[in-house]
Amino acid sequence: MNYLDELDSELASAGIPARRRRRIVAEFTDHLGEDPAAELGAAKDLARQFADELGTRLARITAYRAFAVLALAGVVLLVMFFEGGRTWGAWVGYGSHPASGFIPGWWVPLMVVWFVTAQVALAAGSLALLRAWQLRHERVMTAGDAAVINRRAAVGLLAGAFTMLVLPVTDLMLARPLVVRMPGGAIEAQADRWHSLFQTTGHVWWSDLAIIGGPLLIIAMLAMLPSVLAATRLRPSRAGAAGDLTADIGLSISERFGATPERIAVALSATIVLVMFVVGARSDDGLDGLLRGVLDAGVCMAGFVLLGSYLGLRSGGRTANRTTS
Amino acid sequence: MKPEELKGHLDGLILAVVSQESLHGYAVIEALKQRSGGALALPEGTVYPALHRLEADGLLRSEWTQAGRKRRVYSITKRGEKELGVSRERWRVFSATIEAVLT
Repeated sequence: MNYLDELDSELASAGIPARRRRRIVAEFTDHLGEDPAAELGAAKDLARQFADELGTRLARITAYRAFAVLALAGVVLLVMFFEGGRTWGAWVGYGSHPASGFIPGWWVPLMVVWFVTAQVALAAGSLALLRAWQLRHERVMTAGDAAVINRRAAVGLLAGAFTMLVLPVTDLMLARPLVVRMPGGAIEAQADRWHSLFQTTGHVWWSDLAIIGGPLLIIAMLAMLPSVLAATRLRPSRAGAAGDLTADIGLSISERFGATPERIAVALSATIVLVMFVVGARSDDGLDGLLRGVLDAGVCMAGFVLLGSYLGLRSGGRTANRTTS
Repeated sequence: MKPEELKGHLDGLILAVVSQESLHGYAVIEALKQRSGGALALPEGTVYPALHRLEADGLLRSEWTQAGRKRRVYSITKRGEKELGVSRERWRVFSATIEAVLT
């Protein structure tokens, strides 16, 4: 095996994508054409250096993009809920039809899962952004940190796509009996309904934009998954465990306040309960707010316990150390 | 000069040589050697990962040329020029500070 073949093989082992690999080998071929005696360095070391430089950047970019898409999805969901009735349900007929009061058995557990995945998407996406931001000046991050960022982005996107997808799918399933009952006029009736939705007085353009943008965001989230997968393959080789929640909020701040991952999780959950209670009390239903807050906090703590090590929230978790030695 | 002494300065050095003319990888390394009077003798392969990262960060752009051998030629972007200015200023402050202490 000559040097260039060895380099190609090492680059592949380091997770460099085929297109980038071909380019690197072509550049090194040119270099050796200029100076056949050039000392380019050990193929393995060079492959690691490429993985370090490009993997760090890719993990960071992946986190930023995942958060951006998830944040947009969050805005779309908020718009839909605050614009009661003008949801995807209204589009497919459910919500405005007399038969819409029917709730099948699968709906409640599905909505519980939906509630959980929405929280997971928000938390994972935000934490991916937070870790990437904390490490924004690192030229090469550790394999453990890169793995954690990529995992958070992947979990956030999957949970986000599921969250967004559940709404139109359940609406369609709930509306199915209506469509079956009126097969002949279903399309015309639907077209009339859509037309009247846009003719409704008092609605604003951003509401329409949210309804149309929702499906596009689902596509965007699913389309991002291959690049997240590529990022997980192209990990930096620098050894080192991933940090935990204390690294997310900043080690200096954590030390100053004596924070540990467990304390941060408990403090966050308590804050959620308090905020929800205050919001509920301002709407004259403090008990409802309190119950919602406790539910949210429960999901938060359950997520910390179940996904804590996988998502690098607490120490002793899975790390991806590809040592450089 | 030892390669580890260049850590943190390599990006600025590459941007500086590419800012004068578009260059392929080998020529970048040669320009670094020539302009430093041979003092910057880097392990040659190590420049390529930095070139790729600088391009990914939008500080350089590159394209294939086919004049004779197929080669990738790098040129600086507007963002790269801005970053080069920052690097120069940072170096001026750093070197002036060290000189003031040492002399």
